[in-house]
Amino acid sequence: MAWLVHHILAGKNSIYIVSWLAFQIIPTWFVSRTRLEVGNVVNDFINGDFSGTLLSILMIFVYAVLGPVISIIANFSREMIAQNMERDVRREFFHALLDKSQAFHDSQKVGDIMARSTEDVRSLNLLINPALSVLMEAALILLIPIVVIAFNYPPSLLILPLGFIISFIISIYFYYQKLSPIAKAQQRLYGNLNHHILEEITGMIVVKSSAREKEATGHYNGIADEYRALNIKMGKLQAKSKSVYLVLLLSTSCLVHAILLYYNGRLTVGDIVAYYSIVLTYQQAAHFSVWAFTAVSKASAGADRLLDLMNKETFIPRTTTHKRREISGDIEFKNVTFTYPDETRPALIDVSFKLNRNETLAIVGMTGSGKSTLIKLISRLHDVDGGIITIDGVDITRYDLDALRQHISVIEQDIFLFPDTIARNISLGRDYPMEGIKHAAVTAQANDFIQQLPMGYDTEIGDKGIQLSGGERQRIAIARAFLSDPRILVLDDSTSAIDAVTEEKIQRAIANVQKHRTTILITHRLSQVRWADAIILLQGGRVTATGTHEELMAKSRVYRNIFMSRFEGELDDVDTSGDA
Amino acid sequence: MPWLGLDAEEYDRKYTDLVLLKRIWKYIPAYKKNMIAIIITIAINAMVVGLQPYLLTMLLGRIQAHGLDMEIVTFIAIIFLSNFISWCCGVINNINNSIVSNGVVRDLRQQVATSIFSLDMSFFDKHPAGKVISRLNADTQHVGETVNLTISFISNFFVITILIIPVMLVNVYMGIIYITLIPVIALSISWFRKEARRRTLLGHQAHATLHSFIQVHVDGIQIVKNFGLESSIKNKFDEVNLQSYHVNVKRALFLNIFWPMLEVIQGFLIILIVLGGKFSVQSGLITGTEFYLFIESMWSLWSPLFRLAAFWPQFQVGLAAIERVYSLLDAESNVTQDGAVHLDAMEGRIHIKDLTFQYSPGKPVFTDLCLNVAPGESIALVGHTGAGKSSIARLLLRLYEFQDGEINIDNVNIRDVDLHWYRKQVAFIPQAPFLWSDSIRHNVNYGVVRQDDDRLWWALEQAGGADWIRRLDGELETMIRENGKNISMGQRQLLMFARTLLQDPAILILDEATASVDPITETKIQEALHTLMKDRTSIIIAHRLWTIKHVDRIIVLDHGKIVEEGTHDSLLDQGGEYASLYETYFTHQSYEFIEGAKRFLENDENT
Repeated sequence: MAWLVHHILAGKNSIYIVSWLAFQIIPTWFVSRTRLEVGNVVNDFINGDFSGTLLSILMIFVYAVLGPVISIIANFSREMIAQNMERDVRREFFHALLDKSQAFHDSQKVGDIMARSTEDVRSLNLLINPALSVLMEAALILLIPIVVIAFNYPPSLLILPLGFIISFIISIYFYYQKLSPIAKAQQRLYGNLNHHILEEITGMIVVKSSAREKEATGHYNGIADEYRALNIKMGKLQAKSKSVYLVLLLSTSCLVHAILLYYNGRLTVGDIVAYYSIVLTYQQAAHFSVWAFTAVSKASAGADRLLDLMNKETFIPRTTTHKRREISGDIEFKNVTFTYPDETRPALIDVSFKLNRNETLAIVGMTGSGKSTLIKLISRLHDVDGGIITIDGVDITRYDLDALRQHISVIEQDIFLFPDTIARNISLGRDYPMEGIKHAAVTAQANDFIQQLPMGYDTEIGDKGIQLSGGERQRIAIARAFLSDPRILVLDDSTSAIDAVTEEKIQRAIANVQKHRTTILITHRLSQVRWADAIILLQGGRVTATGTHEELMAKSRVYRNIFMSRFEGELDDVDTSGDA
Repeated sequence: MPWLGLDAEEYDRKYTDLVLLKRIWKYIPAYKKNMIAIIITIAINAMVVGLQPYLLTMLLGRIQAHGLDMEIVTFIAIIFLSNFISWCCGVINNINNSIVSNGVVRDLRQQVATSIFSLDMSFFDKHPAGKVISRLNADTQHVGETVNLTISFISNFFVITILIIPVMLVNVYMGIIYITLIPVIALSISWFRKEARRRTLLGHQAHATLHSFIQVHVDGIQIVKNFGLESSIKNKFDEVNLQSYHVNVKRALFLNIFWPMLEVIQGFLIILIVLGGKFSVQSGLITGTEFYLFIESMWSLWSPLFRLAAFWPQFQVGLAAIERVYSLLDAESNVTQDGAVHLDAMEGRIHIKDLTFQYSPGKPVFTDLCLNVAPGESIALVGHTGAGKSSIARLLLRLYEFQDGEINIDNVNIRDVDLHWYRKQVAFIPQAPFLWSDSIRHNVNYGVVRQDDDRLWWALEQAGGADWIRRLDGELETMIRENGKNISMGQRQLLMFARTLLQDPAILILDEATASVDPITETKIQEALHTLMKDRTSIIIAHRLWTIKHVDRIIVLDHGKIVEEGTHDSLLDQGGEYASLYETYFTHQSYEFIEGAKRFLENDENT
């Protein structure tokens, strides 16, 4: 709640709040005045007195025509608060997302993050406009008549409206209590409705080839049924809300009270008319509140979801006390152990190895053996739980985080391209001259295919533009790495090119990029592993063998199996070449 | 996401308003009782509300002439009672309203969902899931709102009629003032709506840009982190965010003029009535109390009058949503079955004769293709991209409709088999394995008769080993994330294999994955594949050297034609198309290539 209030009051908003309140009160007050003035006119007409009519018309013009015009200012102020808040919250949310650690992002569904940054941020906007403003209007509708009555009528006429306001607030309170769990369930269920059908359509080919259309439809229908039931439940709750009923009791009692005062000679007929119609405006307040509290309950559910995500403290501590330093690229893992958050079994256990500068290390192992985890630790996407990782003999946590990452380039398994031009995908928006970008592309064997694209380096990639093949994406990523010219290169390479020509190009690109820098390769290309300076074999998070290809062929049964099973008949040659 | 689904789609069609209304009307009879309750309560409520000003006028007239007597008490009682009845009617009306509109939405959703699942795959190739879902979930919601709107239109119509009658009885001219208001308000609203729609569309587009920006960078977060781009991206985001803010502020400010504008009209109306009233009372046409009736009617008339005028433009928006929903509902599946033949046991004989097929007119994939596969035989399809390998698989699964020729399964025309039964006999493993975000158990059990744990473990073991599942905290109950994000490509394939083993199909169709997995898993997959292929008709779109060496027959496709067939060795000896394909696609998986890789390093070192 404090967070919400903080955002409502942020920046220029306090000015808008003042002008909103000020300009909201005037028109609402004018509405009551209009009714009073019309009451006067009725009185005059009944008494046959037309002398004041023109003045009354002038007053009605001021109240009923200028009032709404003034309310435009109030509306604008309110709108500014709502829009500012949406902008600021979205900004805060996105900035917070960027600062979260990789561990956080690994644990999130993109769809869910999207839902929060769109729907939930939007529901906060709706909280201000119209929900809170409608509530404020409702409050004014309740209070201003009290003031008008206090100044123009016998004080006893205040008793009933005041009693009403108290019981009204109580009834709204209970209404809200019942409402908010339903609103929460509603949001969750609508999410399900979308999530479920999205998954079914994405996997439609599987649904169809398994002949499961009926079950899939049935599942969706079930959720649609549930959603309907919940909506009707809410509809019933709204319909039965007691507040409208209270207004009805109030208006009749007020009428009786006013008539009694008329007989006492303390009110005129016009007064009765005006008083009664003022009290009837409470009906509007009742309708407004029923509606507005529905929106408020949805907004508060949305705020909960946003805060829930933002408050997850998963930052990597950014050590800045240490100076940026040049590194040469000696890497050592000493007894490194790591367990992912929310998991009990460690992904890496007691991993140790040493790699000298400018050498190439290949990591081999089954999927799930911890290869990708290992390389994430080097650029500190996660911090180790036990043991230590050093670069040039210094613990990596003692480096400035940004400086460390500048020296390390990681080419990932799934190469991500932004929907932007080729050139900007290579430069990643950093300032590099065009020749630099081209040179990087040439060395990465990417220049040829880029030149063949319709717009060359300015070709757009993505939804609206060109789609690149796996091999082409990979070479773009290698060009990125060239441009950064890191001391340490980490290559998580598990895609394989389909044709031999591309394969050769990629091999050549990788060979180029690993020259004169420390390189760690996760690769399934045996042609790469074959020629690495050192190989480590990971099994279930542990290093089970290290050495060169020849050494491992000689000493590791598991490693030998990899080669044997693939090449069966051709293995005789392997052995001879191994011995040679 | 409201901006999705705004564009026209290929399957969109135009319906006349009348047709749409008739079709919507068809849902109503199911809610006959609720509708009757709604109509009755509307009528009663309209009468009661309409009578209020009249009653009040009579009461005021009475108290001016008489002291406090029984008649006045009766009047007050009647006023109270009528208020109470009006409240009761409101409750009953709202509840039934909610039942009808939510019911119609549900019915429509279920109908549309059923129709979506009956469409063939060509539909989903053309239409992104997001847009289809937007019609299914968001547009149907609009239909519900339109139903609500229509019901309230009817009730407002009643109220106005009843309010106008006493006014007209007292003074026709004053009544006419009210009636002329309807077109004035309607006109100003429709002008406003047009502009509002334009601005709203702009606002949605700005939001869409913003959201895709967020999506892209959340997707690419690892790149952002690895290259330390956080601060430059934050700046860019602030720009996009600000742009969306400016557009949306303008839109919102414009929308905020709406209500005040109507209130201004109301203000002028009051002045008009007071002026007209002054003239009428002065000239003795009406009494002061009767004048009160006009004013009081105006207060009550105002909101229904406005809603009446606002109805049509809003209704138009609703009709547009209904049209979008019905277009989707009426989209036709290209795949239709002529019969429902149900064989006792399937042998797995495939006989393709003179097959002609195209995805889009003028671009045939096959013309007059012939292919026979004997029961239990395994074949590999090889060829360049676009040769038609995947299309054969898709046609055999009956996911697409072919234009000419015949496909016979066990000597029965594929168009005559019971599709549900047939697909249960055919297993398909797509190139990108798809998993549900559900437990491993659910995924392995998907589409097959429920199996006990022993069978599940057996299948997993056969399909390349279950040790990695045993190492998971939840074992079989471990939840798979969206698209199998939390397990590797190889593991996803193994789960698909296990599922297929449980299904025990007569025909196996496999589109091999191109992305390679680690050598150990690769070996396991190949062994699992071997188990799977044993004694069943298998058609494999091959990307692996291992596979093409182990099938009974290799079919070489080129531009939709079979150019060569035979075993690996015999085809290599021929030195034809296959030999060159082998050079291009498969050599790099061979031993010679790996040993030769050193030359890349050394060659470049020298240059």
